[in-house]
Amino acid sequence: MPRHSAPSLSRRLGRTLMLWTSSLWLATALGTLWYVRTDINHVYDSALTESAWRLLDLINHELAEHGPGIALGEAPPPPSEDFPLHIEPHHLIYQVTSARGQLLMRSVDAPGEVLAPGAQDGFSEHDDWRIFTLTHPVSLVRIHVADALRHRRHAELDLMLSLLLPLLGLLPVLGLLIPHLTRRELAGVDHLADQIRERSDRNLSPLSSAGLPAELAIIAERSNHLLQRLSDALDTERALAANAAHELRTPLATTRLRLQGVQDLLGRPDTAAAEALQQALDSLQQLERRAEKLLQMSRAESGAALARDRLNLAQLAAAVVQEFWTDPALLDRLQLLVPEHGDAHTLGDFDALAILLRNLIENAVRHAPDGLITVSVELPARLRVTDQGPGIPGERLGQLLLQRHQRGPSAPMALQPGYGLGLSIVNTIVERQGGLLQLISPAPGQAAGLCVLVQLPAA
Amino acid sequence: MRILLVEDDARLADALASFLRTRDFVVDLASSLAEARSALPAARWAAVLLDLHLPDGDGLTLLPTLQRQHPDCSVIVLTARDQITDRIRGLDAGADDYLVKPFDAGELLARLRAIERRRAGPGGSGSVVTLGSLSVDLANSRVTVAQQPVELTAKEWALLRVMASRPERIHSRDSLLDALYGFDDDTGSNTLEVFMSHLRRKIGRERIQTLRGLGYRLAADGA
Repeated sequence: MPRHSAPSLSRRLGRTLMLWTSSLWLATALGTLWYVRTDINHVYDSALTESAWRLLDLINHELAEHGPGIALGEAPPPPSEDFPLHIEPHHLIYQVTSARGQLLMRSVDAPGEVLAPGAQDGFSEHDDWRIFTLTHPVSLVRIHVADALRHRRHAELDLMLSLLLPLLGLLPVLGLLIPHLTRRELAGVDHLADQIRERSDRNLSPLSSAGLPAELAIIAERSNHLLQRLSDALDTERALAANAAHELRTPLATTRLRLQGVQDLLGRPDTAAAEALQQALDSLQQLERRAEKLLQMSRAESGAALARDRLNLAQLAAAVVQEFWTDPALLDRLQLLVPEHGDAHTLGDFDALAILLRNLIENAVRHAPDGLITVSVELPARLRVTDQGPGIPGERLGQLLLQRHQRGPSAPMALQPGYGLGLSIVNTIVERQGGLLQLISPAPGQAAGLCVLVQLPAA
Repeated sequence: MRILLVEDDARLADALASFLRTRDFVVDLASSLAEARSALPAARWAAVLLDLHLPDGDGLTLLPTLQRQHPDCSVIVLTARDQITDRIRGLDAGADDYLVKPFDAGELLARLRAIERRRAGPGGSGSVVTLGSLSVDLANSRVTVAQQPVELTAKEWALLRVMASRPERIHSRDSLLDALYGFDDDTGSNTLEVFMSHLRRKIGRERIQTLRGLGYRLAADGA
């Protein structure tokens, strides 16, 4: 049975949910990052332009009043560990140059070299600086306001970490939570699967739909409908098999008795009438045999032969062999051997296995006119019927095995004479009971004879 | 020998009754369980031929009443049910024989004759069971092996009688212990094995087959 080869529904669902939740989270984080980064640059740039415009007039006035000075403004506060870099005061620096490019004035923390000597008005980037340059329209003094690019990069990094770190932290939590939740929510599916697994040809009881979600309740309900129909069909089949047996056998018995009664009345066996009567009886016997085989075949192929009861093969063999011992001719010839230690148990249908053994013994009786017929029950669960007849020649044995495999569902094998007669019944039952059939000729340890070995699943 | 035939199929009942009457049996007919129940006290039946599929129920339900009223009456089940479990059920319920329709008239006669033999007490004739070189005269309590008479004790004979009167059966320990039950001394669980070994020494070791878990039977010579 190909079981558990496909991954379970809850595992598949858990994996898919995991993958998609993480991907969407990542995509959202990256989108947010891109948007906020643009925004940060915009804010920083606005600060540059605004400061430049404000400072320009102020500085022009300062130059006119006091002339060029090196520095203006306070010294920066000492660097502090717990003070975030991107909101550090004085993150802006400025330089003021003359129209010819001489440094006239700078903030205390600005470098002594002109940062962007030839820069046009507007934004430019030099080394690690983002610079906004503006020229006074009257004095032509130029102001360069700048901030360090690394400030911006730090800001971006912080942002990125604040967006992605929670994801990293949540992934293991999701990894535990999602499978747990899917398993819990899909418990109904597991429950239904377990119930269906318990159903077999012997257990067709309705599935319980209590506590199942709507979709599964429909599956359970429709399955119950089908189970009920199957159960009814099997019951009908069993009743039909029993009735058919009764309907066929009673008139056959009547006919036989009437013919045998006439035979008694006729008395002398040498008349033409007595001969004709004997032929009628022979035909009747053929009819009885075929009716019996058809009934056995229908029984072997019906659902009624699917029972899995634990049974002792010695008891089975004893019951069947005792049937044959009622024939005085077989009392001497038919021998039963059972294991001396331990019991041969199998799971199966007592009646079907009895039909199987009955056919094997009938075959042996028919094809081995004399000599011992041995029925052996062997451990762990084997039935062996050995006769001392002529056996089956090798090529015929091959044909029989070939026929077994080529047999179509409607091939009229059961009615062919010879070894094939009961063999298809035997074969059908062995297959249904999960056993293995072997024909060995000549029988092991003998010059001739046929040994039929049926290996059944031990239980 | 008076026989009650319980069969609901009128044609079969008529055919069977007229056949048996030609063989000098006295046959009465009942076509349902109810008819059979009312007929039971009417005579001292030697045998009942019983169909199982009757219009008012399962034929086996008649057996308890029958065994109470006629403890020595034999029952042969005549049925269309050929499943082995049906057969076991019938024999367990107390039927002596089980014939599946369509049965051979000669076979039915043989079973009835066997009943006649078993009913005939000591002094009767024609009740010799022969198994190879072993010959058991049930009526006169005589046993010979290869024409040589064998002396048996009463208990050994009781066991052999049970096995020889139904040589086609495997006799369970319980049924054989039942045969020893009538004797006054103690019948412990191991005495059966003791008597069996005595019996084996006298009639031949291989003549009694032990089938583990099932019981004992008289085996043929070749076994």
